[in-house]
Amino acid sequence: MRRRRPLRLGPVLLAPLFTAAVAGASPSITSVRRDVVVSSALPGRVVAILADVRIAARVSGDVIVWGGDVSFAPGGSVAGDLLVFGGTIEAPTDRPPPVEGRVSTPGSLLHLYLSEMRRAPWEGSGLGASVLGGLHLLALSVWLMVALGILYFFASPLARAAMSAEEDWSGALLAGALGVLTLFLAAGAALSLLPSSVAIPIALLSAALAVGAKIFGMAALFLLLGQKLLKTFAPARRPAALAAGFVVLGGLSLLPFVGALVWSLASIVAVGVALVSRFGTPRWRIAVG
Amino acid sequence: MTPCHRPLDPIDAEAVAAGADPVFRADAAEHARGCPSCQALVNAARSLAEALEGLPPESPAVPGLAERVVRLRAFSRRERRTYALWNAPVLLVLGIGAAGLALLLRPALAASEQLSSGASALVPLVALLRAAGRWASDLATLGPRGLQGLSEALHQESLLGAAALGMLAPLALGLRKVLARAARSR
Repeated sequence: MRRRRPLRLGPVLLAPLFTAAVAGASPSITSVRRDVVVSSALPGRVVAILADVRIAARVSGDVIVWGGDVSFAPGGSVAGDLLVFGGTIEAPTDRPPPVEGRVSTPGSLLHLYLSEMRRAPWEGSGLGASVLGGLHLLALSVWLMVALGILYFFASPLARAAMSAEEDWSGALLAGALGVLTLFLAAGAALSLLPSSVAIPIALLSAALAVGAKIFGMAALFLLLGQKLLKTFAPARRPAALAAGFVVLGGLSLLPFVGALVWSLASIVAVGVALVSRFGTPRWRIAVG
Repeated sequence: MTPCHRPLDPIDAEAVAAGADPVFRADAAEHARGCPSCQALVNAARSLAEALEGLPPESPAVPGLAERVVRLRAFSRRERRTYALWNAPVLLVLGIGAAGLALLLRPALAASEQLSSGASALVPLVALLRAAGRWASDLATLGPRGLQGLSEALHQESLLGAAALGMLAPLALGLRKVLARAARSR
């Protein structure tokens, strides 16, 4: 059973310079880009951003980690919840992590599925290809279902968005890249500079806008790609065209490495398509008196 | 105005307004005469046609206008309800979903010596549904807590916030320009 991804030399070599060694003087630890080692009992919680956390003593509160890994040394435990966003959890050998609260990696449905199948998130590396492939296919079927739903209820806006992507690919790509960066920086700036009560809704709103734009834009891309493949823009052929475009992009996404790259690029273009076409709203509305 | 229980398809409303034969309902004209709601649809279509006919003749024709209008039009009610248009994509959704479930099932089938095959087939499906529920629940309950932690940590790095703010302004301006250019060319 594999426990951990390959050792990263950078954090190890730089640890003496950047490690926030904790002696328990402060009730809580907050660290950005500095690895954390909890070596004595901590009454508060640990929050680490872009940093690994090693727990060698009891932490009474939560441990929240963004973009870093969590590992346990003998004697280390967490009385609260352990939340890891975009990182891994290394548990002690053959034991679950010593966490009294919830252990969660909210970004990953795979980990939750494995734990439901009685395999815990920290054992994820030993899973078979069939489980990964199965979840991938299920995710793709949900994608197609959602895209068809958008086409069913918003056929005209979706067709307009697809047409705007066809007319200006470079504009959609540029708008997508700028849009994603703008939303990301807006959330980051809000979280850094504004009070949490204001910043969190702004960050959630930015995330919701990005997700909505991606979903709508991807459906438009499926449609456009399929229309090009089938060489028809007839409204009655839209469902078939959307499915054809989806088969191409979804099929590519199954390829190792290249698939992730293509899907990521398509996602950026998709955000751009949604923004450039203003979610397919017409520029002019016709009113007849 | 009382809403109609069998409203006219917009294409039929245009056909009746133009004095042409309806496409979907042979009795469309007769129905509209007795139904205020559908008559309003016909009147709106007629007004649009008259407004278009009233355009000055020197107005230049927009190249490809007809193709664009057809390409962008919404589905008619008939098209929405015609299963033949949708069955292939719907079958594709079901097929991909079934293939995914079959792959998830493979490890569970190894345990079928202890369970009936029907029960072992349900294991991954139930686990998936429970996982999806937990995922949504985690996202709703833990997401804000994670964001609060992130916010507290970033508050200690005011330089990061200032840098993000500094980069945000030119990016937002650039995005605005790109969107304005796209709007002009539409």
